[in-house]
Amino acid sequence: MRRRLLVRHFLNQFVENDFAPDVDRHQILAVAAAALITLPLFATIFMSVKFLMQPLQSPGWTGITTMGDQVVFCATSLLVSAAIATLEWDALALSPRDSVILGVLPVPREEIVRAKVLALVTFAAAFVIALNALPILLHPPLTVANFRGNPLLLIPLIAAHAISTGLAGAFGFACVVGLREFLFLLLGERLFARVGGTIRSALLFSLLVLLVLAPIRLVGRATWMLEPGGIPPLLEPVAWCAAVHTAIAGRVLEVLPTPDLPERLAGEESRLRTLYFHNLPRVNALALKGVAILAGLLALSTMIYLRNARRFHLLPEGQGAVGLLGVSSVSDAVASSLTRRPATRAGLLFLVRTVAGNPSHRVYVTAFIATGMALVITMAPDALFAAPGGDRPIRTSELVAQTLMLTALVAGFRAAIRTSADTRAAWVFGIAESSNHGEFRKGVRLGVIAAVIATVVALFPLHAAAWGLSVATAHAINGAALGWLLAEVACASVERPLVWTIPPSDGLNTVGVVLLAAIVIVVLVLSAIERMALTASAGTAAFAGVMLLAAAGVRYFSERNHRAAADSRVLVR
Amino acid sequence: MTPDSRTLEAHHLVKRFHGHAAVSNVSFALRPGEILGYLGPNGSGKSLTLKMLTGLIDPTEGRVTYSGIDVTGGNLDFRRRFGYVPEEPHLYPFLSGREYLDLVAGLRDLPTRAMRPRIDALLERFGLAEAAEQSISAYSKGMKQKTLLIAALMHDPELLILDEPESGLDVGSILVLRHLVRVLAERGRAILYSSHIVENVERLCTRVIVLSAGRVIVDGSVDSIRTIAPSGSLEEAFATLAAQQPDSLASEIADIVTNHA
Repeated sequence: MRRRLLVRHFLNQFVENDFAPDVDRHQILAVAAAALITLPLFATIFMSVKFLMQPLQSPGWTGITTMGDQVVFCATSLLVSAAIATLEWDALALSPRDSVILGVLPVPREEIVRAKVLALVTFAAAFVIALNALPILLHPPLTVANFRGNPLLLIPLIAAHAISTGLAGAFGFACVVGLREFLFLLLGERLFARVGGTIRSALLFSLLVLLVLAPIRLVGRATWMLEPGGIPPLLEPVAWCAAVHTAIAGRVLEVLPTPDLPERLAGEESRLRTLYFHNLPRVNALALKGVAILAGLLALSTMIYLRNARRFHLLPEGQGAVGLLGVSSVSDAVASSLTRRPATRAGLLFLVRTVAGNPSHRVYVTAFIATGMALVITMAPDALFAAPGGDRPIRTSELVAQTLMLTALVAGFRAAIRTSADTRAAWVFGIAESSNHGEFRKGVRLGVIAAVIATVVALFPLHAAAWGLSVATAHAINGAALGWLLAEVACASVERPLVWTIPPSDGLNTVGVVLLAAIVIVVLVLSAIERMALTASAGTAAFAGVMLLAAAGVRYFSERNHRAAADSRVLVR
Repeated sequence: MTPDSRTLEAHHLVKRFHGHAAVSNVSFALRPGEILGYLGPNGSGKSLTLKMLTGLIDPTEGRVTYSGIDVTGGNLDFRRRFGYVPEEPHLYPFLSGREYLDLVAGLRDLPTRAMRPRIDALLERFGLAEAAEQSISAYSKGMKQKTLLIAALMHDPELLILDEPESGLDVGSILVLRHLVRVLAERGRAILYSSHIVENVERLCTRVIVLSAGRVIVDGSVDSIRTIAPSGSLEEAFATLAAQQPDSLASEIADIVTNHA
C-alpha cells in the first residue's frame, strides 16, 4: 500500500517535469505525447512502403533491407530514451526536496529508494513501449506482406522487433542514469549540483544532434554490420540491438519462399542471401555481446545508484539549477556595453539569465540549435570546415550553414521568449506596470540579436579560412543582417517576452514536418540569392540593405501594434 | 514507556563541514509539556541542529536520544512520534494541498477513513479549505506554511520540532499558532521552537537556548536571560549575546539606501 503510494508519487514527478513550465504544462505534455505516438507511425509507414512496392520480394533482399530499418528503429529508440532520461535528469534520483519531505516520515529509506527505482523502471518501460508500440505492430507485418506463408511466423518477427527496440531504449535510459550517478559519485554532491545543469545541457545537445542525424544518415542497407570490423564505434550499441533482431528474425526469413526472379535479380538475391544468412553466426555473437554489455551496464548503474542513495542529500533546492558557469559575469559585461537604459538592460539580462538558468528555456534553445547543427551536417557537410577554395566558385550548400544555424538559433529563442520564466515573473511585471514595456522588449530583442552576432562571429574564422577575408566579411555582414531580420520577426508577435506564455499549437504535430521542410526551402532560396549577391560588393550591400530595411519595417509595425494593444487595455480599465 | 520518560536529549552534537564546525558541542534536554525556544541569528546553526535531531543529517559527533533510546540518524519509531516543520517550505508544487496531506497521511500509515475528517477539519481551521484542491505552486508562503503545520500535526505527535514556523504567516495566524503551541504543551506535548523572532520566543517559551556561531551561549529561563541586558529586555539581551549592534548597523544600511551620489 505504502510502496504503491510512493511509486505513484514518483511517477507523478516524472510527468511534472521542470521541462514544461507550470502554465499550460498539460497542454505541452499532450502535444509531446501525441508526437510520441504519431511520429513513429509516420516513420514506420514511410519505411515500409519499399516492401509493399516490391512485387518480387525475396528473403535475402528482405533480410538485408529489414536489418537497415532495424538499425534506424534501434538508434531512434536508444537516442529518444536517452534524451528523455536527460530531460528527467533531476527526477532520476531522490531530490533534496524528497529527502526533507520523506526523510522525516516513518518510512525506511530502503523502501523509498526501492519505490524510486521501481518508478524509474516503470517510467522507462512505459516510455519505450509507447515510443515503439506502433512500429512493433506495423513494421513486421508490412515487411513480409508480399509473402504467402504461415501467419504465425509473424509472432517471432514482432517479438524480434519488440526485444531489439526495447533493449535499445533500455540501453539509452540506463546509459544516462549510469552517467548521472557516476558523475554524482565522482564529483560529490556540491560540485555535481553546480555543474550538473551544464552537463545535462551538453548531453541533451549531443543527443538531439544525433537524433536528427540518425534517421537521415542511417536509412538504407546496413551491410556494414555484416563486414568484419565494419561497425563504426559510435554505432556499436545500435548494432548490438539490431543484431538481436537479426538473430531472431533471420531464422524466420530463412524459411520464406523465393519467387521466380529474372536473371539479374536472381544474381543479386543470391549475393544478398549469401551475405545475410552466412553471416548469421557472426550476428548472433554480436547480439550476445550486446545483451551481456547491457546487463553489465544495468548492474553497474544500479550499484552506483544504490550507493549514492545510501543517505539523503539535503543541498538547498535550486542549487542544481544554476545557469551555465560564468554566464552572469559575461552577460553583465555585454549588457553594460550594449545599453545604458535600465529597462533595456533589464530585458537583456532577464533573457540571458532565464535561458542560462531555467531548464525549460535552456531545453528549447538547446533543442533548436541541435536541430540546426544536425541539418548543417546533413545538408552542408563541407560548409563548416571547407577546404581553402582559392578562386573556385562558392556553392549554395556552403552558404546554407550560417543561414541554417541562425534560423535554428532564432527559432530556439522564439520558443523561449514565448514561455513565461515563472508565474511569479508575471506578478513582478504586474507590480512594475509602466509604459516602459517597449524598452523591455528592446532589451530582449537586443539579447537575441547579440546571440545572432556572436554566432556570425564564431563562424567567421572558418569562412575566412575557406573563402578568404573579403568574401567571409561579406557573408558575415549578410548573415548579421538576415539574423537581425529573423530576430525582429521572432519577437514581433510577443508583447511581453518571458512573462506571458503562448502555448504551442495543437496542430504542430501535423504541420511540424511541413514547416521544417518549408524552412529548409526558404533557407536554400535565401542562400541562392546570397550567392548571387556575393559576386559583387554592391550585391552584398543590396542584400544586407534589403534585410535591414525589412527588419526596420517589422519592428515599426510590431511596436505600433503593441502600443495600440496597451492603449486599448488602458481604455478598458 | 512512562509519559514523563519521553525526553528528547541532544548529547554534545557536533557537525563539521570540511573541517569547519557549523555546530559545536550542543547539548540539551526537552521534556513533555515544555516549550524550548531555540534562538540565534541567521547562520548560527539552529536549522542544522534540528535536522540532526530529526535524523535528516548525521552529526559528526554526539548523539540524539528519545526516552533514553539512541535515535541518532533517524529511527522509524521515533519518526512516528514527532512532527517537523522545516525552515524552507519544502512541498511538491504539482500536488494540491489536500493531495499533499493525503500523501503524508498515507506514508505515515494513518487510516484513510479516520484521517479524512481530521484533515478536512484542520484545513477548515487553518483557513485552507477553499484552496485545498488548488495546486501548491499557486499557494502563498503563508498557505504553504499552514500546509506544513497541518502535515506536522495530523498524527498528533508527542514532540513538535518547529523551525521558524511563523515564517510567512499573517498576524492572526501567528496568534493562533502561539495559542496552539501553548495548548499542545499544556496537553503534554514537548515543543522545540526555533526562531530568530525574539518576541515570539519571549511570549511562548518556558526555557530558551541561545546559539551563536554554532555554540550554545546561554541555556536558561526567559527571566534569567533578561537580566543580561540593563533594560531587562530579552531582545536586547539577545543582541548582546549574539554580539550584534543593531543601531549602528541600521544606520549604515540607511546610509547606503539614501545615498544617491
